[in-house]
Amino acid sequence: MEHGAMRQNKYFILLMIIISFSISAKSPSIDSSLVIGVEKVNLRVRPSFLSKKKGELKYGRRVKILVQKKKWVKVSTSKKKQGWIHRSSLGQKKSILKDIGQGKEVARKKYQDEVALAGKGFSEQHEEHYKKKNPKVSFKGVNYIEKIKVSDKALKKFAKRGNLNINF
Amino acid sequence: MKNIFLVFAIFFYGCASTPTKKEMTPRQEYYLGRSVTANILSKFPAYHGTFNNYLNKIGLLIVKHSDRPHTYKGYHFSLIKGHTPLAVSAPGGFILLSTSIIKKIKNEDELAAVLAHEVGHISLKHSQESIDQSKKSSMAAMGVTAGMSVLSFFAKNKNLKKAVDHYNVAVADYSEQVINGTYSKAQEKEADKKALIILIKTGYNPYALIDFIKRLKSDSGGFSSSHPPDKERVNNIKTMLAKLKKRSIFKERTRRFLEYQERIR
Repeated sequence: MEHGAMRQNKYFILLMIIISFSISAKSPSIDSSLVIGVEKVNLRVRPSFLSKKKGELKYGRRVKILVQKKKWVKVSTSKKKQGWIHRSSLGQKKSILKDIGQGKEVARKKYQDEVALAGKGFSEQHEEHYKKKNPKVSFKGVNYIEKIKVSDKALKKFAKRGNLNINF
Repeated sequence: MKNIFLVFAIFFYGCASTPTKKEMTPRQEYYLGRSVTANILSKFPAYHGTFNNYLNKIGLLIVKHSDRPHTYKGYHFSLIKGHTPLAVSAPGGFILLSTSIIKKIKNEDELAAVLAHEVGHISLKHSQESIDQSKKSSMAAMGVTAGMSVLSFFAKNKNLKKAVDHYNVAVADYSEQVINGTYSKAQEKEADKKALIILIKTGYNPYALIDFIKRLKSDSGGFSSSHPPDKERVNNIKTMLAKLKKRSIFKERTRRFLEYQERIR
């Protein structure tokens, strides 16, 4: 009897090991679908930063890759909008949708907020907490730095005068 | 029975440790970068002047020739007031150079080399690795264990305050690391390699990086203390540039650099 119980116990342990392995093997899988991973990006006619703009895509917008040319990709949206963007403006669908509280993650939003703070996340909410906790740390300087802008036209002119490349 | 508990323990440990492998989203990286930058600026205030506009033109041109021209809200370059030669990058694309380092630079190509090195760190996401280290140490300092992530699921709002506290520590800790030299020697070598590629693609003289490192030799620190010893670093760069002919520096670039440099008070 005791021998039988031990055998049953062994099967149970084996089952748990298989389950834990199957879960840990599934967790790091990479989601191949992509979304826009920057606040906003210009959709371009050709694969170049100097090409004409034909629209704008915002953070979290789902896209389908049609063609890839070096670091540039031609994408299509659900509204059949097509154009070129640089690959670095794309991000992982799963984590970004979680970030903006969309899709399957909505139901878990409350929990996610908690985990985002406890885990790697850092958000506007964190910044507010940080400001309250550290009143001596001013964000005025950061806001000033972010306001400095250079237009594509000015950049092109600057490069040409300095005999620098503009094939980007 | 003990075995069953052991299996459960392994099972839950596996579940708890998996999420730590995830990367930050670009938006999370940006907000962390803002706090780290604000923290650095509380020690070295931002310099306001026309040099920043010139600096951003060089920086943005370089960025467009890098592997990662996009961050959540783009790259931002600024001078900071300080007597220490310093060039630092914070997550999300914030790059800060001290007025003191600008005074040691002789031409635009050297300035581009310093910026390209910092952009290299950002495109290689080196800051993320440093944040992981910083977070680990801050969590350890607060006595937080690996099992905490499982417990936080059940504890809900009770841990909100603790999570915010972790990040207050992490931001302060990371800001200190940025100023004192965050990166490993291997990461510095990788950033140098990236910088050379970016400089060549943009049309700048890649040998400017060697010229500048040699000039800083007598100073303590270099860009920051984490950079490999000068001789070793220069030799590494020379090896990387072995097949490339020396380029002459375009005079107009030096002229405009000196003009803007003179305006710094």
